[in-house]
Amino acid sequence: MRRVPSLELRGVVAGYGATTVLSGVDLRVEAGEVVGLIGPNGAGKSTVIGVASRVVPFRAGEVFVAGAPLASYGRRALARRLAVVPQGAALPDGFTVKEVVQMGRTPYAGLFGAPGPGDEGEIERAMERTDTWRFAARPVESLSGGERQRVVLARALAQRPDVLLLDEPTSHLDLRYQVEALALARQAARDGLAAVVVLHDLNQAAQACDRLVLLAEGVVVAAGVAEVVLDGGLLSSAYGIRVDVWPGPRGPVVVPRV
Amino acid sequence: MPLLVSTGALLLTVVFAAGIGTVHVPPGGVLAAIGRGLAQTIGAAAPGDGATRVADTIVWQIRLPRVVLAATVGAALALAGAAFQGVFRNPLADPYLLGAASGAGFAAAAAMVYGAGLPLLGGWGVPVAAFVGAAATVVVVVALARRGWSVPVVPLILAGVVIGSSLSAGTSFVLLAAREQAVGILSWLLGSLTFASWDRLAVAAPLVLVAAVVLLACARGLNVLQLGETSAAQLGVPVEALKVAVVAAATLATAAAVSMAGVIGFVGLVVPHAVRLALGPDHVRLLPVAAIWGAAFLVLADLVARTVISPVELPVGVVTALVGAPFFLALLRRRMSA
Repeated sequence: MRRVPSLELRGVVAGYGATTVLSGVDLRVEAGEVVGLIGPNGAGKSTVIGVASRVVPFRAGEVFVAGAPLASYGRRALARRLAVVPQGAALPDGFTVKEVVQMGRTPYAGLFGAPGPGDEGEIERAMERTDTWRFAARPVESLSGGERQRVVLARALAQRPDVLLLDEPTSHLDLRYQVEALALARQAARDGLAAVVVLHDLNQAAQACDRLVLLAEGVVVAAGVAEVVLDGGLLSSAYGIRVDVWPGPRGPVVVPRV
Repeated sequence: MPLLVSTGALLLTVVFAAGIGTVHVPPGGVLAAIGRGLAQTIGAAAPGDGATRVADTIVWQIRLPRVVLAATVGAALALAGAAFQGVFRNPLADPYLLGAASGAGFAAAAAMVYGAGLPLLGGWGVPVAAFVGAAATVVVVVALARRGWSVPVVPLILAGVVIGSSLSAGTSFVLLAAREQAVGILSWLLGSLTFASWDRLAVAAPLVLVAAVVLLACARGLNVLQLGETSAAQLGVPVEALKVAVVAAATLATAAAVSMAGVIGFVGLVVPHAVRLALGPDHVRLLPVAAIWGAAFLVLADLVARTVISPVELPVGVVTALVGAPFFLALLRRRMSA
């Protein structure tokens, strides 16, 4: 028997206004795996995340979360299943780290937004997971970029989702924090979540993800393990430049010709 | 904790302000008069005589309605300002951003000049016109800005500014066309608590209370909204419903305040801003504390307005602007240097 995927897109067509960004995208992510979404700017990577989290409507195709159609979820029910770490997430000044993580419990809040039972435990757990507990009381504007990224991830984990969508979690971070962000995605997958990570660095994607999905101009050009997707010819045509791929000790190494 | 301290400060301010005027009543006398006033209202006591009766009349019949109305209006404006600043994620928003003041001003001016049929409403012609003017303007602005079921923020603010300017132009026209009534209209536009009475309070206070309950229910949603509308939606917040509820409740509070006291500026801008700087952006604390300090601020401003060049009264809006502007500039400077 096949496992029910945590997130599945079938032939999704979506866009903004008159422009079509996705023209028939398939994606299937199971619990415990990290899937890397790669492709040039404008290929539709962020739109995939928008469609899955229902902030971008889709015109055709089907989306399933934990086997049920996206439309069958209420707002709060969806936020309990699926959490997003947005790209370059800005955090509002003045809130403490803990207050921001607490916002991850919004889909569980009771009447008048009163904290739900078990909130405190979930917040603590998410903050320990991301090593943000140490600076729980600090105002978010005093954090470094890497610390901020971890706080946003903690907020997403506090939602207790089955699916975690990370939109360029490594942008604006130095090497060490990039590695840390990807390690946290891996850890989440080990905890049983399905993770989708949008990445620009293809070598990083090859190392950090179980499977890669290469998007170009709104369609999936290739999907599978890094050795299959990171092909010189495929990448060259997707990005419109000459790309060499060499075998390395830990998977393929992508070298664009400058 | 800040809530308790603020409430205490407000009560002291009310007792203090109710004692000051042409006839001075010490705080103990004010409290005694309030006690007797309450007892008589519920029929538990007969009116006193002599000096007691004079003090009772001054405190209970004249000053206290005015002080409590000032507190209600101040609370309503500060609450509405804090709510608009939260929902638009802009610290420079104020209760009049969507045209409530211009709508109320135009309707009130028109009622004063052309309102021949309004005597039917007794003394309520101008307040009712102002309330309807304020609320109708915001409804029109929201209707102009909406796209289907959503109300995007930038078109909303633009529509508010445009409709507001048109209505202000209309008010100017009414002012010029009816010169002999211009002073009356102008002093209404600048805000005044002269017409305070328990009857007016009995209408305004419940409206403000309803608005306050709705806004407090929205407080946590407003916090999450500070992450941006997309992130809030992804966290399960019904963003569009939240925006409409906040705008509607804040408009109800604003319209109630404006209809009772005219257009009083700066309270709704400065007080929430100052409280946010002091307490942080958490709306669960910010909204009630801002309401309380808005109340205290307007009680004190009205005290200044009616005593500083007594027996002549300054429009209270002039006092709030005179005090508010330098205070606001000082806050901004401090914030920029921090």
